Order: sequence, then structure tokens, then C-alpha cells
Amino acid sequence: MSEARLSLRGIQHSFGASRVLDGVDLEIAPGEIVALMGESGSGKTTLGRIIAGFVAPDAGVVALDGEAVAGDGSFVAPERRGVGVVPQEGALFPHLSVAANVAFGLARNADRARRTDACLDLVGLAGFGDRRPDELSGGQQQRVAVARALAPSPRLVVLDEPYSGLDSTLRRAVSEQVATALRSAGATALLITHDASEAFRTADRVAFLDRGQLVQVGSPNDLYERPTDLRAAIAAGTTSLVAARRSGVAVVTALGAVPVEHIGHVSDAATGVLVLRPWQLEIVVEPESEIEVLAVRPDTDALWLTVDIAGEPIELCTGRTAQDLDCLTPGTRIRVTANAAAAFLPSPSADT
Amino acid sequence: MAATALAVVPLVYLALQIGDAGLERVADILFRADMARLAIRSLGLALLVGGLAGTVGTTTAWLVERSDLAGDAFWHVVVVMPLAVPSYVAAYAWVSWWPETASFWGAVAVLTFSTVPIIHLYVAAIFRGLDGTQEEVARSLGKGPWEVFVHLTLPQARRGIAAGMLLASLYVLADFGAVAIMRVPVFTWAILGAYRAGFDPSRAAVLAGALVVLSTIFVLGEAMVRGRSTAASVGTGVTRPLARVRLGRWRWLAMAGLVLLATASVGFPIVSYLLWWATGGSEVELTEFVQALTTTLVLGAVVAMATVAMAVPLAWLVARFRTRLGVGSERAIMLAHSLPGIVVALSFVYVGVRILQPIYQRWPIVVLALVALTLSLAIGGLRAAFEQQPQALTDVGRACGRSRARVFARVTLPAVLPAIAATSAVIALTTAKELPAVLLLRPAGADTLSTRLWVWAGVSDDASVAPYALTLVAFSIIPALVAAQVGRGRVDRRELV
Repeated sequence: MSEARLSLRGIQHSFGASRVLDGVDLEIAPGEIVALMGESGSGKTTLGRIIAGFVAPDAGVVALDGEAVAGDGSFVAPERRGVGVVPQEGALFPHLSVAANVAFGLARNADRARRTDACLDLVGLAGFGDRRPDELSGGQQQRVAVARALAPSPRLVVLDEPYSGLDSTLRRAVSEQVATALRSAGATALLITHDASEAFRTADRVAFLDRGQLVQVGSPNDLYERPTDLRAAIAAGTTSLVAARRSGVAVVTALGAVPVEHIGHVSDAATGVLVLRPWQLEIVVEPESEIEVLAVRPDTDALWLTVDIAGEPIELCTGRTAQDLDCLTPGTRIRVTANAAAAFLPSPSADT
Repeated sequence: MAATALAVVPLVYLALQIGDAGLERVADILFRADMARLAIRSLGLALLVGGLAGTVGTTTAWLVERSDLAGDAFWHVVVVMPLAVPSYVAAYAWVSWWPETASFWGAVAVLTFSTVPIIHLYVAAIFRGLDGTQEEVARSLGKGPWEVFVHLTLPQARRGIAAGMLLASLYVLADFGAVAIMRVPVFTWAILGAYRAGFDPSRAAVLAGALVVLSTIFVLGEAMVRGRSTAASVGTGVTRPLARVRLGRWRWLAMAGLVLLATASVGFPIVSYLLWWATGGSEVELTEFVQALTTTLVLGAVVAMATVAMAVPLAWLVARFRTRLGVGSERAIMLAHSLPGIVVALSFVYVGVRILQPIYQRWPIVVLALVALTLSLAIGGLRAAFEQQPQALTDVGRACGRSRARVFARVTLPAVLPAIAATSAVIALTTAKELPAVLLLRPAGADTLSTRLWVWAGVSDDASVAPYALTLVAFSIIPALVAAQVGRGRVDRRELV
């Protein structure tokens, strides 16, 4: 695998009057896997297509190992970029066998069959070479698409929502197999997804794209625990959002004062929201408390509560336990404590 | 049942006629040297035209759908336009200017021009239905645009192209007017010869039988090739429009080619007829023309009504219930449709002579023959319209307390009225253009536009042919435009590939 460094500098692109990408800068180190997250329409697929060479950016430079492949007056055609692509639902060539699909990008030489077998083996599909694509399950098709992209040893692989056609249980298994395959191939990869758990399981770093701009790039843990953007915070996982105001090294909320790490250069008395992950909230039944539970909505892995604090209804989300389900009912009085340093996101106007 | 009978009975009588001739006589006709020559010439013409039209039509479809040629919508209509020029109308224009074009190769050229639109429509739909994502993946795997076309696009379109070529060949086997004008002795023309030359019924029947066998082989071949290609898609179809290939300097060559094709297939015949019409003076007898026009319109309307009346119940039954009887009837009618017009005409001659003596060579038998010819056309169109209607619609109607018949009349029928109107128009036009069936069965002294044209063409009177030819072309322009339009609509690729 001849992994390469990818550099994006000031990428801009518009479709008609609507600007899809607005000055995107991103570096991916050789052998690194970066997940590109964002909501539908945030521009992530377009960015992937610009990297692969299917779309020429309006402005900005795409460089592989320092050599510009788009922008700066250059444009290298997709077939000469060495960027492998795994699209949604695989797009296997229906008239070719699995082996012929994988071998499609390989030169006709003695090594061809060996390389094909090795790549099928890499994705756990050794012995499937003679099958036709329509004889495979959705997950198997997707793994063949990954093997096909890896076969010619590309400098970079772009995976565009590769698991979106699979159901949730299969999705987890396939994404782990693919991550393992990418790691053992040492591939530099960009995984485009809107699914945080998929991104967190697979990627070294996560880049969050919002309305054409990268608002946060960091480790999965950074995005989860230290989000710097509200949409990124919500996309990174289940969270309670509580109105807050800065006061010294803490913020003041309806739940009381909460210590905040990395408060940075936020001006004193700035207002914003506090991002509290479920595990950061401790809830104890306390009949004397002024906080009353108004409604309880159990989710698959969390418990959503509407509570009344001094006449204000507030949405909270906590980890779900059987005990909580039994004792938390409307009318119950509880004490709520934020038990660890949470992230404070000042409102845009207060940001200096 | 009546519909099926109408489609099948002529074949039965054709078989009876062959049976009557006796084995010895049949063998005598079959194993004469001219029979082999006839078969080789018919097959050769069909396959040559199929191959040529396949090549040209695939190229035009690629130019219109896959290249960056400017004005693709315009060129699409231009390439489809020959559908508006009946093959005998085109053939006569060539032969009248240059009598030496009346040859096997002249027929190859004229029939190729006529069948290019069939292939073009077929293949353009396939190209449009392909998934652009696949081509992008192929590019990312190091294949250039040309390699992608050869290794990915063409292999997936291959069966579709083959099926289109077989359809074109079938059209050539059934063609009567162009080969007769070009004086190429193939089956259809030889059948007319046997019918005319003192009416040798056994020879005509045996020739027709041989043509039926040949046609059936092509029909089955087409169904087989097309049927095997349906497995050609994976996934639920997240598709991306296809990228177009830059032609660069080649675009001038492409445009020159398209202009040449359009000139030869549409421009040349139409301009010729306009010229003859303008310079021919006043010999054209107006009353004669008006009579033929009226006959054509009335006949077209009657045939359209009769055909649709028969096709509606059958199409509905097949679409809704798919009973074995319904499907069987439909198959029989579809097979009968592959029969060349001259064979159906001849079969009705036998039916007329044997059981329908009172109406033989009178209008009712002409109508019967034309209904038999156009029935499958009507069922094809109407069945699709019925199938598009959600079952829930009729269920709701029934749940509101209405009887099945009342729901059919009040809910189902109004929804398919546009399809019925369109189908009627197509049938009326097919009737107007139909040559051999009307030629063989019409009452003495009566004429439609096409048969009158035929008579004038027989004496090479260009000025008299012109108004008939131009009227037929004018009639056909609208359906040709509709075919072009329908072809450009977004289609589910699984239906076509």
C-alpha cells in the first residue's frame, strides 16, 4: 500500500447559487483514517467526489503528497489519481464475477490472480471469487467493493456512506471488518458518514462538516467530550443541553454551578449551553428536592426526562438503568448533579 | 376469446391450406432451388440490416446520451424522425431519382434508415438507465473514459443491443413495400407474386408458412436474449446521472454523420416529394385524393374502435388476474403480431374464400384483418396502463359498496382513458400506413392513401405519388414525436436492461 498524505486547502464549490463547500482545509496523514461527519446536505459527499476527481472544485487545492491534483491550474483525471472509491451500496459491476470485480483495476500480469485472492481474503471473502454480485448479501457486496477499491493499492480510499444500505446489526459487523481490512492494508482513508458510532469505531480523527465548513476536527474523544460546535456535539452522541452562563472557572445553570474545563477565552458572564453526556449526570431520588419529574421517555440506551426546575421545564438525558426505570415516575422529586467537567458552548454573539 | 380467435384463426387456415396442398406438393415447392435463394436473400437482408442498424443506432444513442454533443434533445428527435416515413415511401423516392438503386443493396440502405430509430430508442433507454456510480468507480480504478465504455457500458448494454437488432431484423422480414419497390425477391414479395400470378394458393401458403417459421425464430430469439438480461442490477439503485464523454474535435465528425443520416433517411425523401408535388402541376385528381383520404380516416376509426373494444377486457383481465387463460390468450396474440402483414392478409384471403365468402373482398374482412394485425399493439399499451393503477383504488371503490362492474366503469376505465385515446390513435395510423393487408383484401375500386400511392408508384407517376406520401408522413410525425418524447422520460432501468 503506497499510502499518501492528503491536503485540502480552501476548497470551495457551488451548485448554481447554493454554496456547498465554503473554504475547507483538512490534512490526512499517511495511513490515517479520518471520518467526515455531517448532516444530509452538509457537503460531505461533494467533498469526497472532489477528492476522487469526479468534480472539479471552484476554488482551492487538493494535493496528494504535496502534488496538486486539483486546483492551482492542475486537474488530474480520476483514473490517474490513485484514489479508490467505495460508494453507497457498492455499485458492483453486475455483469462481472466477484473476482473480476476485484481484478478490474489490476494490470493483466502474473500477479493479478494472487492479488485478487489476497484482497478477497483481506475482507473475509476468500473463496467467493466465482460468485456473481447478485448472489451475495448486502454486507458481502459492500466488502467486495472495499476489496475492489484496495486491490490496485490506491494512495487514498474514499468510502461514501458505505454501510447506509445495511440494517443496524449488520452495519456494525461489516464496518468492523472493513476497518480491520483498512488497517491491515495500511490505507489512508476518508470515511464519509452521518453515523457517529460508525465514525468513532473506525476513525483516528473525526472532521465535522456543517453547511460547507469544517467546524471541528479532532479525535473521536475530543468531539464527544470537548465539542466546540453545537451541531457537532449533538451529532457525536446523546446529550442534555442546559442553558448556562459563565462565572469564573464554572458556569451557572438551573442545576447549580458546574466546573468547566478548557473554558478558553470566553468572556466572563457569557451565555450559552452546557453539553452534558448521560454519564455526566447523576440523578438521585430526594423527596425534599425542588426538582420534579414531569415525564419519562425510555430510549434504547438512555432515559429522557422532562423535569421542572423552578417552573421551567428542562430536558435531561441520563444513562438507562433498570432501577431508574422503576423509581423515576412523573411526580418523583430528584436531585441532579453534573459529576464531571462538561463542555460549555457560548452563544455565537458572546464568542470573542 | 373472440380476440384470441381472431388472432389465431388465420394461422389455422394457413395451416389447412398448406395441408390441402399435400405433402408431395409442399415438398416440391420447398425443395426447389428458388426457395433456397429466397430464404438466403430474406435472411441475409434481415441480418445485414439488423447489424448495420445496430451499429448506427448504438452510435447515435451513445452520441445523444453519453457524449457532450450540443443539442442532444434536438438530435434525439432527428434520429427518431424516420419513424414518420413509411419504408415504401422512402424507397420510392430513391428509385424514382435513381432507378439503379432498386437492388438488394438499395433495400439494405433504405431498410437500415427505417430501423435505426428502433435501435436508437432501445439502446438510448438502456444507456440512460445505467448507474453513473459504477462508471465513477471504474474511473477511480484507473480506467479512462474509452476503456470504461468498452469494459463496462457496452457489456451491460450488449443484450439490449442484440434484442434491438433482432427486432429490426424482424421488421425487415415483415417489410413488404420497400422490398417490392426495390424489386428484391424476398418472401413477402414472392408471396404477393404467387397470389397475383394466377393465384397459386398452395405456393403462397407454403411461402407464408416458411416466413412464419423464420419470424418465430427471431421472436423467440429476441425474447430469450432480453429475458436473460434482467438479472443485471445489484442493490436498490442509488444511481447518479452518467458523466458525458468529451468529444473535442470529434464533435464535427459526429455532427456531420448525424446530418448525413438525417438527410438520407428523412430530408431526401420529404424534399423529393415536396418538389414533385410543387412541380407536378394539376394532374393530381382532387376527388380521387379526397376519396382515399376519407376512406383511410373512416377505416382507421372503425379499426381503432373495434380493436380497442376487444383489447380492453383482455388487457384488464391479464393485468388484474393473470389467469392462465388470459396469459395464454395474450401470448397467442403477441405471437400472431410477429406475423408479417402479408401473411395475415393471405390468411384472411383463405378465411374469406372458405368461410366468409359473403364478406370476401368487402370492407368487413379488411377490418377483421386489420384488427388481427393491430390487436397486440393495443393490448401491449393498455395492459401497461391497467397495471399502473393501484389495486387499492378498486379496493376502496368496492369497500364503498359499489359492484365490481360499477367500479370498473367509474374508477378503472376513466383512469385509462388517456391510454385508450393514445392507443386508438396509433392503431388508426398503423391502419393508414398498412399496405399488403388492404392491398389484398380491399373491395374492387376502393383505395386508402397507401394503396392509391402504391398504384401510382406502379406507373412511376411522381407527381401523383407525392400528395399521398406527404399526407402519410404528416400523419406519422406526431406519433414519431411522441415516441421520441417517451424515450427521453426517466425510466426504471430494471425494465429495460
